[in-house]
Amino acid sequence: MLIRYGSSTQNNAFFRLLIIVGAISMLFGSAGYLFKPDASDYFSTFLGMCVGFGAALTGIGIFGLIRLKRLSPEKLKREEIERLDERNKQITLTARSIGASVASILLVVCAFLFMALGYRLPALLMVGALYAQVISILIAHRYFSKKM
Amino acid sequence: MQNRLEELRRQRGITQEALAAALEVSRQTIGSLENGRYNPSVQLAFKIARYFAMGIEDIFIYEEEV
Repeated sequence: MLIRYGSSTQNNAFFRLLIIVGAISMLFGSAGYLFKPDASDYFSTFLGMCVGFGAALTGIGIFGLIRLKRLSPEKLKREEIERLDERNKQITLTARSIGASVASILLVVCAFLFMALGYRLPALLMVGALYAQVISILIAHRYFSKKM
Repeated sequence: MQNRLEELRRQRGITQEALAAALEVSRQTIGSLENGRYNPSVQLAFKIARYFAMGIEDIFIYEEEV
């Protein structure tokens, strides 16, 4: 969840971080265009993605900061309660778990599809992502088994 | 698990919003608890019991699944 509502100090820091990361990404993309105007088509697309991603992050950060400044303490408290509400947390976890399962299935489908179409590297990347997912689940499971 | 939350809330003339604010949960959570669609955590069950100055088992009725 990109936009979150913690305490206002936490949120201020979070939105400021978004602006900084976004600005760095935009600067990198723009600098790439300036210093390498004859870059390959793929690299130009990559630079464009950096600018777009950076602009989105910066926009979210600025919007979040303005919103925080304009919200009344009562509204902030209500949003804090909504965020910490145990039922909402459970709903979010369930939804994320379904999303993760769908993403796993898509990774497998895409890996087969890319391989069938002859795109070896993307197919291997998909398989790599799948392994990374399985390994991270195993590590997290082990960690939380010890913790709980 | 069944509960007497709605009955107790109505007896005391409290709105769902007021109860939600006192327990620091969303109004939807109170609604879901009352409808039996959601079972609370132990912490929330204790909070509810303390709010009504009753024991947990006086509010929540646990029936073993057969």
